[in-house]
Amino acid sequence: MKKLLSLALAAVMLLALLTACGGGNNGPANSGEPNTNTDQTEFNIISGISALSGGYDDNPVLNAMMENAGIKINWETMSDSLGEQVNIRLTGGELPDAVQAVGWSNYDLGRYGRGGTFIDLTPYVTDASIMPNLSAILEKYPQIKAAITQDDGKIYGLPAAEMMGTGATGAADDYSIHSIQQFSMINKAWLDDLGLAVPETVEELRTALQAFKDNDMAHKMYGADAGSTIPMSFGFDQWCWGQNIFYAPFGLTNWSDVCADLRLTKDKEVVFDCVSDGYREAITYYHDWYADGLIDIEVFSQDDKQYLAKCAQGYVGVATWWEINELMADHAADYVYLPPLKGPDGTCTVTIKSAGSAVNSGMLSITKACESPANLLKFYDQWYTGENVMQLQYGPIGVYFHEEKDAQGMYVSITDEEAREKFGKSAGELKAASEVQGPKLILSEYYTNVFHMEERALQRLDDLQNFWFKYVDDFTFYPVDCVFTQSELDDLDLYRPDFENHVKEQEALWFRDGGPSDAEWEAYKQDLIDTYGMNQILEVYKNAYDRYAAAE
Amino acid sequence: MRKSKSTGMSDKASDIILVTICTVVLLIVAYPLYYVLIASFSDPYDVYAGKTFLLPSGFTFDGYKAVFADPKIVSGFLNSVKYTVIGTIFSVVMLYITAYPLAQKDLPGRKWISLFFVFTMYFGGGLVPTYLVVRDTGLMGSMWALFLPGGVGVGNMIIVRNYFQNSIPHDLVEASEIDGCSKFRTFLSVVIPLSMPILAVQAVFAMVAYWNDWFTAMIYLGGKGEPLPLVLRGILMKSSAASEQASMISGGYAELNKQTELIKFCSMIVAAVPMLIAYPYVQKYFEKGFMAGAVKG
Amino acid sequence: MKKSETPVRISAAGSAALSQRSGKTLGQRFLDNWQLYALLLIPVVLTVVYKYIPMYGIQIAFRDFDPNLGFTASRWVGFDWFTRFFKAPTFWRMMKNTVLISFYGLLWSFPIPIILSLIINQVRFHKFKRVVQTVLYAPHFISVMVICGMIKIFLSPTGGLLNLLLGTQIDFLTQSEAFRTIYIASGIWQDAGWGCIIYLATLANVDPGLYEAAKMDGASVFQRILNIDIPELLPMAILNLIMAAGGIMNVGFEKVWLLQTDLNKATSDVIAVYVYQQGIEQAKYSYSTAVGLFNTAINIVLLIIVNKIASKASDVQFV
Repeated sequence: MKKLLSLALAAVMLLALLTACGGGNNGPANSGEPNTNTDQTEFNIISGISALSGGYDDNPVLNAMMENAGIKINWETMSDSLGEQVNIRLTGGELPDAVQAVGWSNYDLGRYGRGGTFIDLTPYVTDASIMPNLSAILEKYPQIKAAITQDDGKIYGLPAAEMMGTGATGAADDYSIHSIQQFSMINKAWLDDLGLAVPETVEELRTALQAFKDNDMAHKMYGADAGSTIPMSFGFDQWCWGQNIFYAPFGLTNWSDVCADLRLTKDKEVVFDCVSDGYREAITYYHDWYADGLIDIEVFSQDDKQYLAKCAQGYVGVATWWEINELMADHAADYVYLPPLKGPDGTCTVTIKSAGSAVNSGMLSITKACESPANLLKFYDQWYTGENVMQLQYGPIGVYFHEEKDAQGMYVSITDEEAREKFGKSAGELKAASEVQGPKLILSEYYTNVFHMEERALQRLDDLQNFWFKYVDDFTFYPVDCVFTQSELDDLDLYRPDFENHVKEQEALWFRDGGPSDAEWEAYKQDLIDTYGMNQILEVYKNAYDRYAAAE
Repeated sequence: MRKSKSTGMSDKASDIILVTICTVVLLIVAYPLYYVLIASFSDPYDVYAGKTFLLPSGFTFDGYKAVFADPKIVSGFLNSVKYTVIGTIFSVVMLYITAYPLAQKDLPGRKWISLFFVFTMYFGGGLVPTYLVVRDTGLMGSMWALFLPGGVGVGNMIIVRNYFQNSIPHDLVEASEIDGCSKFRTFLSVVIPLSMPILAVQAVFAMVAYWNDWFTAMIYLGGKGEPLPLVLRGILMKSSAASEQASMISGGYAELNKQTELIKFCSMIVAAVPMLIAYPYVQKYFEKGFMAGAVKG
Repeated sequence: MKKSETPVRISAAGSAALSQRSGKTLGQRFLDNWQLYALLLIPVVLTVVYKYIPMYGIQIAFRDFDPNLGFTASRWVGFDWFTRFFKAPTFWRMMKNTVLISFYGLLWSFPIPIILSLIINQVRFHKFKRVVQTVLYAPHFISVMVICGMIKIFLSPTGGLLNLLLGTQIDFLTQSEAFRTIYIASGIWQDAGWGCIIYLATLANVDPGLYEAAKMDGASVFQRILNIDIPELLPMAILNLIMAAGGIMNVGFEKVWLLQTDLNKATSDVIAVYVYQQGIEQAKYSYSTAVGLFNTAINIVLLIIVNKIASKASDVQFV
């Protein structure tokens, strides 16, 4: 039977060679000049879409922009498994004129770009006769242009970003709304009942948690079943509900930034937090809490639904989330922010990150099938005004926004009550129904001169500036818009996933079972270098940063 | 002496034992099913808090309301019925016309032809090349794209083939041929009636596979004629999209997240109930095996 | 054993025809069977078109697939993807976990449907029998997502049913020792009834006369199962075993992925999840194809071994 199989295999290989279809012809070489052909006025575009949207065909904002540009677009929209479906199409050589809202990584973009499937947009985005709005923006903000330029010097996608940062509130420095991704909180009502103050050091917190537990506060205060109090809960290394903010007393907050545990220090040095002594101390320290039952036993396995359920029922004394109200629901009024704590030696280091408001260029690419890119890009140029991008993001003026501007000359959005009254939907559903996914570049200045930011986002920015930033000594962060060469991307692709997985797994094991002995700790560090390519990863991030710094 | 009639367990006693075992197994399997049903009517937070092990808590119809509010649910159901019926017939026919010849021990080249099919169980060209062939054979957007590329279900074909070899008396087939029936005629009048149980089993396998399939439909149908599982998936995705939207604007993430959880349970029940209703009708044929054969004999 | 019991006896003419046939030339035998070949025509054509033609895609396991260049023009890299996989830091752990989870899975989930179907088949109350069968079959319709959600709820240390029953507070999903048990037990719960279907159908073919005769001889239910039912089931069981052995590397990714936590990775880190993360999520078709081919190679070797053993021990043949 083995013989038969190998024979059959050989036959198939032969068949493969015979039937091999060519898909390999390259498109026209990208030149530095824009293609001035203007014959094509009807375009086919594949685009992502919110599952709640009714489609783009009847979208008044898009239709008006098409009319201005003198073109027609046939939309093919998908909300399910978009990347997978588009990859099949492109690989099969079935090219639409453009691909919108897939969210390509730089790796994919470079690949499709260098291979000629996506065309170089550089000559168009810098030509004020084709893209007056975008070219002006790129001139004003060279860093945006740098962020979308690949290492071969070409641009394969239009820029997109939502620059929701402190700059949008008029502050001098612009820090992303994601700079500190977890806000820790504590039940003040329980503290008051026990006669305790809001803790400032880890030891004080420990005392408070022990008191929560001993007095079964959820039972006592909220009438929950006896024994249901969970002094402290979170999701291990989760994004906005992780434990990382509690590492501050030991000199780090290892956010998942451009790479997990990577940090750019004050002295512009690229290091990994996960090999620092503070990291080891933190894990060793909190293991005791876990062992003593002060930390929810389920932190390693629960998902956000289980977590939300626990918190909403008032079982949890200390938790982390994006904000208080959503997590604590009916009990929210009892909770206050728990500030970053001081360690045994008075340390309290909170770092910030930038990954949230990155400019990316994966939201719109034009393929080689498009005969008249200039016509199509005249349509997309209209996306780059504040008023238009606002309507693409939230919904048309007259629907999501009131027709009249306010005293500051800015658009005002509809309230939740108004939305329910006029359209029978919540404001969120209304937004999702009219939102267009694509290359939306929402500059932070739009929030001060075109429309108001959402209430909750403003609140969070306010909390960041007035509460959390007090605990940040150093505002250095690794810039998310560093550009990597293809070989650097290959290195990251090879090492990073295994490295990140291993570090996280080891962290969890030590957290549960007790910190490492000296020998284990040394072996772990050596293993990261020998097996997991830590030095190679560091090298890549260091070189990319050096180039970035040199360009500034 | 131990073998004598009196020491053998009486049928009554063994009935009790068998029924007891079956009842225990029944309860073990049924409880989680009952639990899913309860969960589809309960407040998801209570479900997570472990308050719904016996009875629903925070009784609600919201999940079912959300599922049945979608206008595509009826067309999805009808499409699924259509695909399932046609697909099942297609699959079973393909299995039979492949397995029967290959069950004939004296068919020249039998081994090679079997190998030709078995090979495809282990080697496949992958999604993209298959997609290209489906497109080039003009099946895009047609329901035949759901059936034809599947070809022959090789594993099941082998089961049917071995069933023909082991469970259909060869002498019956021989006798029929001696009586002057052609091979084809023998197949129709002897083999098929004799193999009702396995035919029913294969029908169940195919029926369930087509009923549950959403991926093939998503890739090849291009949004037209969506079957039920794809519609239900869409409803679930809409709900989770809504909760993500809400988290930014009105802070309803947690609330809508609950609804998504509820829809997860409800859509599963909506999808499973038609199959549970259909099953007993097919199941009857499992038991008819020998009787059908005896009539012929 | 049933063959000798069938109501129709081989006629003298029939056996004569049998012996004549062997004297024919190959060409004559082809002609004799033309109707059978005609039946095979459609399946063969469909298989060639939809299964064999796309197989040119396999070659990307040996190329660095570039979507711009297509399947046949991408750069040839030989065994680079395979080496990369073998050198992955967790390669041996993934291998071990994949094989063990499949092996233990087979050990438990193979016999249980057989035992269940033997028991159900002997139940004499038809209504009850039908109810049991329908209920056992139902879990097959529960999606993996919902199953995993339920497992999490049942096993939760805060309010989970199992901990309540045991009076403990254990987070089973963080115990690497418990992972395989959770995975396999829930798999049995979901699919044992489904697996019964094929065996029950096979048992339906047993001549009721045999049972009657056995009863007359004073055979107990257990003896009837042993002497009548088991021999009837054996060929089907062996066939299923061979096929299961040939699928030893195919561990479903979704369920493992949904039940995986950092703390049970020591046993839950399997190849399928790795392929999903590295190959599918990032559209690295070459890498995932190469790993798939590696799995296939192991599957085939096992298939051949088990098939050989089985065909020596019985007359069941896979091919």
